[in-house]
Amino acid sequence: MKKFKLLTFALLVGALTACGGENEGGGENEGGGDNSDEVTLHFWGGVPPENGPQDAVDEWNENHPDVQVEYTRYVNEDEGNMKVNTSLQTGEDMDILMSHSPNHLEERVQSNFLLDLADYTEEFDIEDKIGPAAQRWKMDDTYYAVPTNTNALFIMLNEDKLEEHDLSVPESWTWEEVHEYAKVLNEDFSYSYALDYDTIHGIIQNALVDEGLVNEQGKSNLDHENVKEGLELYYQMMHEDEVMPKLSEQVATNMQPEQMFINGEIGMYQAGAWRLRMTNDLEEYERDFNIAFAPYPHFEGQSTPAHHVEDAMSIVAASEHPDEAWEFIEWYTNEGMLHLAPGGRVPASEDAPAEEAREKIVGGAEDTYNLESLNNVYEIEDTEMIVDPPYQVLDSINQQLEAYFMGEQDIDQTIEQMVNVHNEHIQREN
Amino acid sequence: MNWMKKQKLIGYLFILPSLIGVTIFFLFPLLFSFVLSFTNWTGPSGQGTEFVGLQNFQRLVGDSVFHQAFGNNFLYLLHVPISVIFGFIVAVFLNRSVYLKNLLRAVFFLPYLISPIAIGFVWMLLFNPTEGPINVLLMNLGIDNPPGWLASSGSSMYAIIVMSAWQIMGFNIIIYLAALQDVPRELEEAAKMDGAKRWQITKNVIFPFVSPITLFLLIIGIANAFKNFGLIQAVTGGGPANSTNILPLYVYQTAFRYYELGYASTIAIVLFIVIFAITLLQWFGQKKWVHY
Repeated sequence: MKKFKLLTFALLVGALTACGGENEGGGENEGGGDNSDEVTLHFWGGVPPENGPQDAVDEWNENHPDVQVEYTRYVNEDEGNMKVNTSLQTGEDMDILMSHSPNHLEERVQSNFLLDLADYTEEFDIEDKIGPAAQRWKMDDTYYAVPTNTNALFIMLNEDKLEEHDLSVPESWTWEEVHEYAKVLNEDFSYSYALDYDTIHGIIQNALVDEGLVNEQGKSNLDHENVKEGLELYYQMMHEDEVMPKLSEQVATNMQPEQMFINGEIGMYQAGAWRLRMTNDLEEYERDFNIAFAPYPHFEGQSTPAHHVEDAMSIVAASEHPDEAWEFIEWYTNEGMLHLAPGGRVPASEDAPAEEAREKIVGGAEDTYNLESLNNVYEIEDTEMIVDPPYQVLDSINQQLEAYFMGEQDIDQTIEQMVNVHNEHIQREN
Repeated sequence: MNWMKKQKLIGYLFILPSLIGVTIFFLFPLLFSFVLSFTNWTGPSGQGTEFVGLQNFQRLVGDSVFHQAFGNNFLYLLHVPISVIFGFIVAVFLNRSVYLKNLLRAVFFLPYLISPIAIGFVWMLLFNPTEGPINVLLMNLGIDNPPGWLASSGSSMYAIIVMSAWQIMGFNIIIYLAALQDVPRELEEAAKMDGAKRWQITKNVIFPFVSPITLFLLIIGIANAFKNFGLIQAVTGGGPANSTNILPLYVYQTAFRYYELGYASTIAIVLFIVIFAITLLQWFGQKKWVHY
């Protein structure tokens, strides 16, 4: 009998200590420094530290011994963002958070995870400093985040081939002109025009740049004639003129258009500043032609889509040091961002040294670019901001587009389906 | 307290740790998701959550993606019987005298140990519609229009079925091999004396003998087919055009991409009921063909 008692006792103790152990480990010491005045800010973002954030943080830490910043990188995918949200929910140490999509920011704002920046932006007016494109990050008429990076959208052109065909580098162009260029260039390439397949829905956002996703009656605008025109153009380019890779093939073969562009197999590659890191690296990605840049095309009589402003920094509501966090955010927006320029990120704030940044983004390969055209892309006027559909609608659009471009349903069915899903979503949200 | 009671108490104490575990990690989440399915919980923290009655279930009725995922899920189940049948055949052959028995056994089991993500990428290369070895072979055999496999919504699910069947076959083989060791030699010999041919012995002696194992593999396989989506997530993400979207993947997307946790719970509850019903069906159906 005694044996039994002893055993159960041991078992209980074992179970209890196993549960308790976790807690002791969790109470980590703040920063670990001896100086009790020292503040440690935990800064989470999706940019790999080696692409600039670490250098920026190091510079800050050197000049601010009292306010030390630690950078934690999360992977900006569904899983990574889920981890961020869970950490916010459970109150893990986090003072500054960088969100990479307005959809994610919205989730976090709705959950009261982030601080309204209204108190801080009296002196730092976001729309003054960043421009109207910042409105992409506006929620409930206020800002919970400061976008830091202008992610330029452009089309990379194989300039050598353009010259062979006496084609000029366009300073502003319509989709019809893109089509014409593609037809002329096609004899020299496997495909004269290509984009990353997961950006295929961009044509719809582009088509609705002036009209918006939702019309005045509060219904889906996806049945606007521009949408149809844009989709039919892509279809024609894929299936009739064969100047663009078929979507099905691109998906199934996991085609790498950026690599094919560098190899000279693709003439015009629709991308953005994030690809400059690759084209700058001439050792890893050897290339024997010069690249010129054209802005994103626009529909006849419509605006050109504005460059995205991204990487929006927020103060976490639970932070004990919001003032220090804001100080860091302001510094990062204006000065720290320079460290990120070699990775293609140009500071969005007008107080930041834009010229210096623009020199840095092409660092190491200046001679292989048409820099004038790149500057033109950054300076382009008559732009309008692109609106991001919610993920539910976006995913559904992508599925419908796949079916359409694979020839499994016609354009009218495609548009009808998209409109239905969108309207259902609008109805649910209200 | 008499001796019996004490004994019982001690018994309960022994199972207490695992009981606590089951309650916290299984029972509570199950009940919680049941409650959630009647709410409109959205967003990571669920601010402003309210009970909405049967609204989520009504939405299910009209949700075309759900319908498609539901249908796809049943098509996807096909890989289970396929892998069980092939697993049985291979196990029978391996059990007879074959050269390199041990090596072959390991080779067949290997896919089960590899991450589904890695398997997915290898199969993507094989299924490449223009340059992949499978379609090149088909074209050399004179088929002009081989299927687009993952590139077409008509064939993508079949490609997924092939991958999944291939992956779990190794597990089935190992289990069958173990079961085959229990088939009494004298029964086989007696059948042989009576003039039964090899396939007759396999069909009438061996197969009935391992039928409980077949039932086990079917139940496990089908339950897993309603739970695992790693391979599909890695290979197609549910596309093209939702043709490979299955219920667990849809639950995952709804919960952790759209953060509609209430609605995701509703789908999960339906999923639970479906698995439960299928398992019951198998359980009662077994009397007809399983021999203990």
